[in-house]
Amino acid sequence: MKKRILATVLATVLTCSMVLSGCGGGSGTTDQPATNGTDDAATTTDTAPADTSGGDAAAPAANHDEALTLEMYNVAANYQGEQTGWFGKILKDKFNITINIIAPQVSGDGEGLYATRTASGNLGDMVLLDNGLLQECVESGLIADISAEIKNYPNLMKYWEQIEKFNKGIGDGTGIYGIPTEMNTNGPTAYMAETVSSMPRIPWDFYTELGRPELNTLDDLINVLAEMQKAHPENADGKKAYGMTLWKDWDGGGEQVTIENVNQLTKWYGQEVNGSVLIGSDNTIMPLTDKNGAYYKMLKFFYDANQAGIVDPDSATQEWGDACDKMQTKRTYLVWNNWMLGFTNNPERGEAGANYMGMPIKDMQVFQTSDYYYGSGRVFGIGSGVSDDVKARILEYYDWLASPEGATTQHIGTEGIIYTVGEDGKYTLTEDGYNRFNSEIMIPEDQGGGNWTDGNNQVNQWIVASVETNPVTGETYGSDLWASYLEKNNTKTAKEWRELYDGKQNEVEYLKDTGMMNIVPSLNLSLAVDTSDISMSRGSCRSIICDASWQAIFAKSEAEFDAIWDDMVTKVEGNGWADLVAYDTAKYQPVIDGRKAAQ
Amino acid sequence: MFKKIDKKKWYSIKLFLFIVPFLVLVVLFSYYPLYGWMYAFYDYKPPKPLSEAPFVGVKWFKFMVENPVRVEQLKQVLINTFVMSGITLSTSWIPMLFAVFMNELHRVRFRKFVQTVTTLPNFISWVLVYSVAYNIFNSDGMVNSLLVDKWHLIQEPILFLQDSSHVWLTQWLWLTWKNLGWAAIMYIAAISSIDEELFQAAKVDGATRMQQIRYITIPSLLPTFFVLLMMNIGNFLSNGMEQYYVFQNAFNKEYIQVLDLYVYTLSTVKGGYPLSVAVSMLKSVVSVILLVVANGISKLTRGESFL
Repeated sequence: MKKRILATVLATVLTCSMVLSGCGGGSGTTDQPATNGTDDAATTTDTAPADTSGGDAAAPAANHDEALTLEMYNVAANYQGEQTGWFGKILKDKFNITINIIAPQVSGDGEGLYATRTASGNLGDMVLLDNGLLQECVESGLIADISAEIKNYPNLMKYWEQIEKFNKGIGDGTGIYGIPTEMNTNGPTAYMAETVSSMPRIPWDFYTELGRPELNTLDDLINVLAEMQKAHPENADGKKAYGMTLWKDWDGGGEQVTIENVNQLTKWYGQEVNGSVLIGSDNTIMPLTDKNGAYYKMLKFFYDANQAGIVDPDSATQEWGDACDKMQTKRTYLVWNNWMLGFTNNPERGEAGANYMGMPIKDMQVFQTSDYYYGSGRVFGIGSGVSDDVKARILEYYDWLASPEGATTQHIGTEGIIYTVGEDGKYTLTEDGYNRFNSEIMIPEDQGGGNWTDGNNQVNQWIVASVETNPVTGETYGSDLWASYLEKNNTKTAKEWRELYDGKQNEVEYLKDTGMMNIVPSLNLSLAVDTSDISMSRGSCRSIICDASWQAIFAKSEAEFDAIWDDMVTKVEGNGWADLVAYDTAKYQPVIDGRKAAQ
Repeated sequence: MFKKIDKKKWYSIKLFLFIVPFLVLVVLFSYYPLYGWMYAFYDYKPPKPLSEAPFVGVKWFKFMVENPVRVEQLKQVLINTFVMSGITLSTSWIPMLFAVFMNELHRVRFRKFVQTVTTLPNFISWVLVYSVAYNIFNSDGMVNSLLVDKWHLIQEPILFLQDSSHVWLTQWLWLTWKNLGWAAIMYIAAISSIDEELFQAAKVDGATRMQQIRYITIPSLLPTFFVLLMMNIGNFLSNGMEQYYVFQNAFNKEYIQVLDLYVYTLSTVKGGYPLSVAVSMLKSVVSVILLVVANGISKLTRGESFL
C-alpha cells in the first residue's frame, strides 16, 4: 500500500512537472489572448445618465445609453487600471464611459506587453502612443482611420493644421490616424513658460543658510548639496535626506537606450538624448558614447555626487513613486524638471523662503525646445477593432478633452474645489488648488470621493497644451501663468531670487538674457521605424548601457568608473552599435533640417 | 468469435483511454509548442504578423555566434546556468537528509510544525519573496536599521541587494529556503514506505539511531534520490527565470542571468523574438544531450537506465 502511495506521488509530480515545463515553453510561443474591453464590457448596460454632451461646441452627440468600459493602451500613464475618483465620475456622468488604462510603464515589462497585445491584433480601444509606434501600428492595421469623422468635431478641428501635418507622414499620408498631444495655437517658436524643462533646482532656504555661494561648475553644485546634507541630514519627520535621489523604472523607455535620470540632465549642457545619439541645441549630432558629450559628463556628475556621499543609496533599486515621495517630503535637495516643482513648492513654502529655485550654473548651456506647437511626440488614436458606435463615443470623448471645459478639467481640476471664477471671469486657485500636488486634498463623496491625486486624470497626457489660451478666460489653461497665480507666487523666495539674479523676472528671462539658452524650434515628425536588426541592436545596447550606467554611478573609484565605461563601449560595439548610431543619425536628420529651416 | 475479440479489444481500448488525458497534455504542452520554432527562421517583429515577415533562414543562429562579444555574453549566461544548476544538483541530497532527520523527531506536534514552516515558502510567489527581501535588506530595511541605527555596528548601510559578489551563493540560499520543505515531502513519503521490520530487527541487533539511518533509511531512499536526480539533470538548463528576474538589477545581472532569463529578456525586446526562439532551441538540444549522457552513466554505474 505504502509503495503505491509513493508511486502515486511520483507519478503526480512527474505529470505536473511535465505540464509545467510544457507551459514554460508554450508561453514563449503562444500569444496570450488580450481581453477585449468593448466586447465584454459593452454588454453591461446601466440606466443612462442625462445626456449632457461636450458642452462648449456642437459636436455630434453620441448615444450614451450603453455603459462602456474602454481600454486605453497608454505609454504615458503611471497608473494601471480603471480611472476612478473625481475624474472618473465626470467621465461616467458625462459620457457613461469608464476608462481602463493599460500602462506599459507600470506593467514592469512594457516591451513584452506591447508585443503580445499587438500580436493579438488588439492593442486597445483607445491608444496613446509615441509617434514611431503609431506609425508601426498603422502599417499593421491596428489603428482606425478617422478622416471621415473628425471633421464633425470642432474642438479637435481647431488643431486641424497640426493634425493634418502630422498625419501626412503616417502610412500613405491619406488617412487621419493620430491626434498629436500638447498642441497650442501660439505659433511654432513661442516659449511661454516661466521655467525651463530641466535645470538644477535646490531649496532656497538651505541655500540661503549656506550664504548663497556662487555656482560656477557642477563641482560647486555638489559642494553646496553636500553642505546641505551635512546641515540637514534628516527632514522634519526625522527621515534620512539626501543631496539627490534617482529612480530606475523610467530607464530605456521608447527609443531610449539610456537611463532616464541622466537623459534629463544632459539638457543642462545643451544636448538632448535621442536613442543612441545626442542632438545639440546648436543642431549638431554625436554618438552617445562620445566622451565629450553630455551623457558622459552627467553620468560623471552622478558618480562624483555619489563619491561625495550625497546620492540616495536606494537610487538604483527604487521606483519613481518612492523618489516622488522623497521630493514631497523634502528628503532630496536637488530636483531638475520643472514639473517636479509641483511636488516641492507652494505659496506657503515660498513665503517662508523655502521653495526650490532654479540655479543657473555659470558654464551651463540649457537645451530647451519651444512649446509643442505641432505636438509633443505622442499621439492619441483609436483601435481599428472598435465598432462605429464606440468610435463615435471615443471621438466625442477626445473632442471634450480638447474643449475649454475638458482642458480646464485636465489641467486644473473642478470648479469650487480647485479653482473659483472671479467677477472678471478669470480663474483663481483655491487654497486646496495651490496645494493639490503636494498634499492630500479630499474630494466630497458626491463628486467622486477619495483624494484629489488618486482621482486625477491618469491618462497623463493632454491634447491641448497648458500654455494654450482658454477662450473663456483669455488666460492660459495651466495655472502657472494666471495673473492671480503670479500675484500669489510673488513670494519671499521669488523676490529674493530676483534680487540675486540682477532683477530678472524668472529663470527663462535670466537664461535668455545671459545667453545660457537658445530656444530650439519644436517639431513633431513621424520618424523612421526600427527594422528588426536595428531594434535587436537597440535592445541589446539598451540593457548594456542601462546596467553599465548604474554601475558607473556607484563605482568605487575613478579607475573603476572609466573601466565600466570602456567595457560598456566595447560591449555595445559588439552588439551593432555602429549601425545603430548610423541609423539614428540618419533618422534624426529631418529633425535637424526642420529646426534649421524654422530658425 | 466476434464477441471474444471485441471483449479483448475493448479491454485494451479501456487501458488506452486511461492514458489518453496524459497523452493529450503531452501533445498540447510539449509538442504543439514546437510549432513556434518556426519563428526562429523569420524576421518576425510585432505588430506585423508572421505571414508578412520575411524568411531569413539561419540568420539568427549565425547572429548568435558571429560576434565575439555576443559569444562572450552567451558563454557567461551558460556559465551562470551551469554553475547555479550545478550547485542545486550537487546539494540535492540536502532535502533527503532533512527528511531523514525530521523523521527522527519524536514529538509529533513539533515535527508537524517544522514541516509546515519549511513547506510554506514554496507557496509564496517569487515576487512576494523579493518584496520581503527588499524590506529586510534595503538601505533602511530591517537589517540595516538594526546594524546602523540600533547597534551602531557600521556607519554606512550595506547594500545587500546591489551586491555583485556571492550572487550564485545567495541565490542558492533563497532557492533552498523556498524549496527545502517541499522537496523533502517526497522523501518523507518514501521513508514511511520502508518496512518497519527492518528497523525492529536492527534495534534487536543493537543498532544505534545513527546506524539505523546509515544502514537502513538512506539506502532505502537512494532509488528515489536517483530518480529525482535524473529528472533534475533533464531540467538542468531550465532553472526557471522568476527568481532571477525579480532579484536581478544592474549590479548583479552579469552573474544572475541564466538561460531562461536571457531568452525571456531577448524575446521581450522588440525584434528579439526570433533570436530568443533560436537560443531556446539550442537549449532543447543541450537538454536532450544531457539527458542521454545521464542515462548512459546510470546504465554504466547502476546497471539500469531510466529511459
